[in-house]
Amino acid sequence: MAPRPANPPIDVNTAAAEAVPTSTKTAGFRYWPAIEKAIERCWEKAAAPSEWNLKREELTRAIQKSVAHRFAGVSPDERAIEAYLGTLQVRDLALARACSGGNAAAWDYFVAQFRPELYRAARAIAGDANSRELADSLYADLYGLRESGGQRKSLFDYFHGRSKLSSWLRAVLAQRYVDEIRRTRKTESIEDESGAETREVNAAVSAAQTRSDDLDPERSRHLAALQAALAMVLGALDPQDRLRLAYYYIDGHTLREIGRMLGEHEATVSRKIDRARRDVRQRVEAALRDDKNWTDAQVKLCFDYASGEWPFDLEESLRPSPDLKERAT
Amino acid sequence: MKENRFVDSNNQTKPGVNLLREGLHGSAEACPDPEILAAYFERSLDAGEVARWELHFSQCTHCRERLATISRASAANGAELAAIKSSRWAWLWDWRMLAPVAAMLVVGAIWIEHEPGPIVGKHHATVAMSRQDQQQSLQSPSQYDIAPQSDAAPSLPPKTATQARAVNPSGETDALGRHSQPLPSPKPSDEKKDSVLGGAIGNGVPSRVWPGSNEPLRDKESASTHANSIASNAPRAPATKSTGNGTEAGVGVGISPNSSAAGGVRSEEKSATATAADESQAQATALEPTVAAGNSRATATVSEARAKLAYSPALAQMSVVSAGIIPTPDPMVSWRISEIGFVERTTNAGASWKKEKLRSFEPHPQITTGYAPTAKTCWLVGRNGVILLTVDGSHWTPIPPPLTADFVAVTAQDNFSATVTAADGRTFQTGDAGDHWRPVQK
Repeated sequence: MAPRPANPPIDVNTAAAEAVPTSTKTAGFRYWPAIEKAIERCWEKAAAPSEWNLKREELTRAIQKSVAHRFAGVSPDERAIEAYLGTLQVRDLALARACSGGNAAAWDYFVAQFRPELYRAARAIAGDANSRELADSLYADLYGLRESGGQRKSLFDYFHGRSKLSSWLRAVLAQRYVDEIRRTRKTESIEDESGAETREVNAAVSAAQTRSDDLDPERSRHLAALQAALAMVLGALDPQDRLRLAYYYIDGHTLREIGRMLGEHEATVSRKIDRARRDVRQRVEAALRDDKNWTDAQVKLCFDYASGEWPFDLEESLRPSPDLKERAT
Repeated sequence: MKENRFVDSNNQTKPGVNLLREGLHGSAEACPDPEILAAYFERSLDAGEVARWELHFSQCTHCRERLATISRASAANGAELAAIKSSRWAWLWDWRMLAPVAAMLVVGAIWIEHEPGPIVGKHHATVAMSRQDQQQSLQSPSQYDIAPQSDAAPSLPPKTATQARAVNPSGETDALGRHSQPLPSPKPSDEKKDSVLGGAIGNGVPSRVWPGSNEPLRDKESASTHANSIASNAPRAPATKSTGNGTEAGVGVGISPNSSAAGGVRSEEKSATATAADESQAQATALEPTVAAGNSRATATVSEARAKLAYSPALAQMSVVSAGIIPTPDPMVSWRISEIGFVERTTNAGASWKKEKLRSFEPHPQITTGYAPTAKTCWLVGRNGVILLTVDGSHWTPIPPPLTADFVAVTAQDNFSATVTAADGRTFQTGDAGDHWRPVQK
């Protein structure tokens, strides 16, 4: 099933005020005495300037909302909540609340501190031509120019302090930009939410395979088995290894870009991709041999059929393992 | 075409990508909101959330596009900030600011060089003392308040610059104080002294003993002293050979009465003194041998600082090779394991690195570790039986391995003698640069 976004694109006009789930409200009440001290520490840490006119109750409500958002659907213990509160970016949360409340001093501070960064991010994302438009649209929503139900709504209401404000702003910009690109993309992507393109490509591949199957009926059987084994092996891979393979082979990112996204050196990314590739190769071989009871010669034939279809390095990965080669001859 | 320095580039075929895409397709979970993406990028999610969302990201192109966009924005922001900062502080690098600072540094270096004292600029030659002499030196006030040492490690007060020059008449030493000329013969009274290097000194034959190698001395009289002073679990290495590339005449001995089997030694350099006419007792500067001995005297910090600057291959091997750096006796020279098929070498303490292509039987040699007994000799080992050697610091020669296996460790004495360890624990030694290997029984 194709994934769909949990939240629609952030639109202050249509999004209702985020309500705290009842179950978590109860949980919040239950744990309130235990986390009261932690919230007290958050207030001290926030150290909101007096000119922001931010009341302690307002920040407390924002923190409670953040806790509810984080632990939605679960019943955390006090330690988990306290640990979570310790990770909150409470200063940024205080600024967001003050800006959301319309305080001029807070807004001036936000503009002075974050505007250059916002424009830098927009330039990096959308290029010089479209950066201003992208950044200004976000500005309007942050300030809360739109109203809903007679109430001014600010995009800051969706910030819960889980990350730095600057990171959150970049993420919102990125989401808007990617959503817009996908919406207006003239050539449909290989994979979209509906999976239509995947089906189209699969149909083309299938048609090509049918022609080949006429010449060699065994080919489709071997490739189908290979696909099944590959899917099973990939499903058992570590999520981060899967992500690396997806970044590299499907999205075509460079090792440096992947390293930046995962917080690793590119040499580390290379080693891990290489290791994952070998791991997948060995496991697929084992799956075909053990689950299908195929001989080594059949496994070798399977990879021969997959030549040109196998997603990994042809030179490296199609080279049979030494013992396989020995037994096949 | 995307940059693909480390992984073979010819691997993206459209149909193949679809096979992989199919295998990774199908996330049942909804996409996260921007705050989760931001927190993931900042590494502020807990481990459970990271695993959960990475599984989703691996299956969701939409989320990966967002993450890539965030990464691009973050990188650009970082680069611009760095450019702004560097321009703000650019005035600091003006020559009119740097010139007086450089002049002060030069003056300071010259002063340190000529000022006798605890600051380590070079490793001065030392002379071993007898146990009696050692006791006397401990009792008498010395220039530095050096703590009493264990019997296994003689403690010697530092010597003056005059003494240093007298000990080393040739005046030629490398960065570790090792002599490039054969050591002068000691006076007869020195032969009986308990000397870690008594054998080498007595024979007048240059020898090179790396710290932690536990190589037996040529002089059997001193063997017991040496044995007492070397880590008990250190492996015994074969005798050092003179090589065709020149003889390393310097002497370095690892003494660590409290060190662990893996090393933890501190090198102590001693050489004979030729002139001790004005001294009834031979005195020399010695590096404090104890590292972790728990010497509680704060005044030993001077000696500790010296010892820390001494090159200790065992320590270096432990601490830095795991980070991909292969140190050499020359602190300015190191190798670095980099991309597959290459290593990098620095001759200016890491200020710049030069890439060196590895020629190997394996088309894409993956190096796991290395060992450099000299600044120009380095052994590398890696996966699938890769063993490589350079003797001039830049050109690499493949060495036939004892077996095709992944090698995980190597030590070497020179460009003929080395010991390699395979991933399954088997160890092999060669004394003729890989023409013959013999297994080492543990």
